[in-house]
Formats: sequence, structure tokens, C-alpha cells
Amino acid sequence: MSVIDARLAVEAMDARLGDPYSPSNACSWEQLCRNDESGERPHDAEAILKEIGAGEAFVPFELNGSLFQLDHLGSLVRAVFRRDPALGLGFGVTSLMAAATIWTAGTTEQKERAAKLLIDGGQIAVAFHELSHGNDFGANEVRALSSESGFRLTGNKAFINNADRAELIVIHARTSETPVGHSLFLLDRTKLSLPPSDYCNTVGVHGCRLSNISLEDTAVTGSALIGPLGMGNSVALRAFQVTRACLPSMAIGAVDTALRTTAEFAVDRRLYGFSVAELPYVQQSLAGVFADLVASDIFSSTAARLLHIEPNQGSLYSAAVKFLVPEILREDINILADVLGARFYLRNGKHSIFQKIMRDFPALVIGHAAQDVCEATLRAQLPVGVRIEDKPDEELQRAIFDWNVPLGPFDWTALQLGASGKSALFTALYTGIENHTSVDRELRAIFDELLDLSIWLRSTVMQMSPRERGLNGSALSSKATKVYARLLAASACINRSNVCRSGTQDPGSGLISSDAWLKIALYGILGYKRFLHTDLVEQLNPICYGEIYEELLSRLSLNTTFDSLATSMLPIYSNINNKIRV
Amino acid sequence: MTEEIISTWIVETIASYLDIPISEIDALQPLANYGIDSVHALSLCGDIEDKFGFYVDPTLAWDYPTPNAIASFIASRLSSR
Repeated sequence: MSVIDARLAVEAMDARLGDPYSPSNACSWEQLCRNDESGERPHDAEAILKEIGAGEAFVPFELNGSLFQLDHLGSLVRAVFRRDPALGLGFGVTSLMAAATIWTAGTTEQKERAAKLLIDGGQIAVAFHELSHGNDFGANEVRALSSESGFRLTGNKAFINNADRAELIVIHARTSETPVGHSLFLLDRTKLSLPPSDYCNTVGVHGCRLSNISLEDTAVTGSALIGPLGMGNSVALRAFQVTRACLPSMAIGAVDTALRTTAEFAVDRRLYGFSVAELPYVQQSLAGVFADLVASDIFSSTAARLLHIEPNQGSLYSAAVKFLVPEILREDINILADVLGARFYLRNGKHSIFQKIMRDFPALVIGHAAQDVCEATLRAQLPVGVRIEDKPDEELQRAIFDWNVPLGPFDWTALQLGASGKSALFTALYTGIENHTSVDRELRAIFDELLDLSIWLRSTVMQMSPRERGLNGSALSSKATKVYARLLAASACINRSNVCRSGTQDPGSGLISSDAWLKIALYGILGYKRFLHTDLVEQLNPICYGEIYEELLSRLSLNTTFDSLATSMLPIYSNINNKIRV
Repeated sequence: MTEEIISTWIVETIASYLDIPISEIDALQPLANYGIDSVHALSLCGDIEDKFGFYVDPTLAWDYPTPNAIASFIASRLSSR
């Protein structure tokens, strides 16, 4: 599937979601803010998602869904996140997490049941979280005792999205006291009588209903087991590589809307006799966030493609995306809030979607492997992650970065718990820089800094004691982990830039092939945020920000998205009944 | 490479993870007794791949709980190549 096909799928989705500016549309920002204020689920918006079969995006093609390539899953669901992150999370993303475990290790019967439910617009709850253990699900205490007819489950799961309505529940429970003592179960709630639970009050994501699940000697049959007994953690940690790579890609949509809202404000608002958008610092802030969104899209899409191409390194790539992209996006929201000034916390009026995104965003990114969990996954495997191919496979490199190279259907069984082999993406940092044709002085200086960092990283990792790679790792190992994730992101952007510079006609390739975008993107990836490091880092020539700002204004006026696909938010789409294949 | 040499290497590696003397680790005792966690298990697979040239799943540390058991598994993998 080509980039053009991926764009068509996104625009078909936007066409179905309707005009985001029209207050009468259930999927408009104004209406979704009103739902948020009421504290209710956005029922009308969910009805639209159900009607258009949005749940098909989570179901593999061979199970009658439309999921084919993981990079396209991220860009398609991003369209829903542009409307409302809570809508994306409430309607579907936690269902995807649950379903991922079933696609990875479920029986044919379990897969077919889950597929039908999602295609029909239903939900699957993912019940891992216990209040005492957070992301440390290896310590979870809900018990599943073996019985004559199967298992009996006892214990409490806390803050589970859709626990009140999901027809199916994937539950994580302890089945023995040994270290491989957890298993996954698929519960059919229509056959259970679960006690009602109060909803959890939250600051953001009002459109999601989180509640608790209490199990008291609840009987399930042996056929409820997902994957082998005792392999629950192994199945989950493999399946979640997919969701950890895709969720940040989707979350870019929320910041896309935050940027659009802020840019519209800046253009309209007049201060001291001229518009806010004429202030150089505002232009640089907006251009910087725009460059970050494209870079975040490229990094997460590259990681998603690598799950197809190099699944043996999936645990590294997915953790790196989940570790770095939310951090970049969170800082971007704060930068935009500074531009919006007092508007950023107003709960009514035309900019009110911004404060909602700002409240919702933390729930999006901590909900599924917090940053320190991803850091621990990366840190333990740094020696594997920095292994370099002596003779990189050119064909393989092209498949990673040339998004018009079609990938086969995703193989859920190919993912490994730990990383092995050599890293194509880390290797590509060197080949990408070597092959880059730009002679821009600032850009070459950034390349040199990246190469210096990679040399520092490799020698630090070689000298690091194994103990430093453990859970109680040193500050040095934390720094090495951050540098590693940033170098992977830089590699993705540089290599994608190379593809776009080689004459591809992909949408957005003009921007991505420019020196200006790559410089600003790499500055963002290196953490040199605008105006925060003025004393520490040589500032880029402001001209490059001007170039990106012009592109931003163009996309703003054309209502196109601020990611690498540059799709229309207001598409005229005639063939609306075609199935969206991603 | 004999099982004994491999087992000694496992003990040395685990001791370095935990920063404890090699003499404190008994090759016949489960590693879980020494506080090996899932992050150590991930480290161990990378180190085994570096040393022996093949990937093992991090669940190895639970499937073959003692250094001797892991050594026996690795030796059989090596001899089958």
C-alpha cells in the first residue's frame, strides 16, 4: 500500500467524521468540548465511529478487518485523535491493546469473537492495572486458581477503561507463585455478573469511563486462557510492542489540533498594533512544533514499519518511540500554551479544545507503559541496541524509509520479548548521514554532533557495568538511554529526508526534503527547544524557521494536517462507501 | 565449551548484574533467590547472544532457573549447531 493510498484512507475517515468546525457536527471540536463539560461519553460521536466501522482498523485483514500495515494504523486513527483524544481512547485504543494480546496468542475462536465485536463497534476492556502495582504488572495479585472446569478468579482491577460496557475483557491474573506465574484470560461479560462500580473522577479524558472490576471466585472455563498458561507477561510484552509504537503516532493528532488552534489564534489576535503571528518568537514556536509533529510522525511510522521488517528489534524500537515521542509532544503543548497566553485555560469559546487536549494528553501517554518503564526496557538492552551492521542491506534500508515499498500483512507471532541481532535503524544513522547530500553548514554541524553523540554512546555502553543497566541504573545509564532514543529518531528523520530528496512525489516530501525542516526537527529531537537553551546552544539561523512557518500558514489556510501525510481535514471525498484498508 | 565453563560464565555474569561476589552464587540454586528481575533477564539475553551467538528468550531465566540448568540448555544448543 502506497503513501497515496494511506492518505486516501485518512481523508475518507475525515470525510466521514465531518467538518470539525461545524458546531452541529457530533465530531466537531465545539460539540466534543460540550460533551467533555457534561462529563458524559460523546455518544453521538461514538455512534458515527460505529456506523462507519472505525473498529475495523484494529482488526487484521485476515479476520475481515482492515489492518494491514501498522504505520497506516497510526496515521488513520490519528484522524480521530485530531478531533478528540478522549474519543480515540474511549472508543477504541484500549480495545486495540486488549485485542493485540488476542491477535498475538489467542485461539481461532477467540480471534473471531474479538474481531466480530470490534467490527460491530463494540469494545474490549484491557484489565491489567492494579492500584498497588501500576505498570509493574509482574507483581499483580488478582488470582486465577485452577478448578475442575477451568479457573476461578478473585481480586480487583482498578481504573479500567470501558469496564462498564465492554462485552469482552482481557484480564491479567496470577496463576502460580513462580516467576512465570501470570496468565491472560478472555472474559465474556455477558456470561458474568460483575458488581457495578463507581466511575473514577479524572481531570481529563472525561469522555472515557474508567471504573473498577471486582472478581470474587468468578468461574471461567479453560478455553478463556489466552496463550499458554504462565505466559501472560510474555504475550503482553510482545503484543504491547505494537501499541507502544502506534499510540504515540495516534497522539500526534491531538497536538496537531493544539497547533492549529494556536496558529489560528496567533493569526487573528492583534497586539500592539500588529498580529501575534508577526512576533518572531511566535513564528519560531509554531514552526518548531510543526517540525516536531512531522518528525514524531516519521519516527513512530518508521518504528511501526520496522515491526514488520525487523521484528527481532521490536522491543527496542517500540520502547524508544513510547519513551521519546510523548516527551516531545508534551513540551510542544506547553510551548503552544505560552503562545495562547490566557486563552490556553479557557473552557469555552473557539479555542476551548486546547485546554481539553492539555488535560487529556497526560492520560494518553502515561496510560500504557510510563516513561520509566520504557527507559528500563531500553537501558537493559543498550548493548544490543547499539550493534551496527558492517554491511547494511540496501534493499532492507529502502523498505524501512521508502514508504511506497509495500509491506506484507503484519505477523503478530514474529515479535520477540527481547531484542536480538543488529539494529538496522541505528546502523542507518551512519549511512543516512553519509548519503545526505546537503552542504548546509548548520545541518552538517548537527550531523557532526549526532556522530559525536553516537561515538560517546557506544563507548559508554561498552564500559557500562551490567549493574548500571538494571532497574536501579545510574544517571549515566539514564543519559545514555535518552541519547540512544534520540539517535534512533534522528536516524529515521535523516533517512526519510534522503528518500524525499531523491525525487519521490510523496505528499509532504517538499517539506521533509528541505534543510530547514531537518535542522529544526533534529534540534527538537536533541532537546534544544526554542528559547530554552539560548545560552547553551548555537541558535539556528531564523530564516529556516521562516521557511517552515510559511508552510505552516499554507497548511492552515488549506486545512491540511501538520504531519507527514498532509491530508485535508475537510476532504471532498466522493467514494465514501469504500472500505478503508490500512 | 563445557557446561561447567558456561555455568561459571553465567555465575560471573549474574554476580556482575547484582554487584555481589561470585562466591555468593550457588550454581544449583534458582537465580530468583538472588533477586534476579525481568530487567536482568533482558540484559542476560543480550549478553548470551554476544557470547554464544544465538538469541534466547528472557523467559530462559525462569524456564531454566539455575545457572547449571541454563548452562545445560546453552550447551545443548551449541552442540546441535
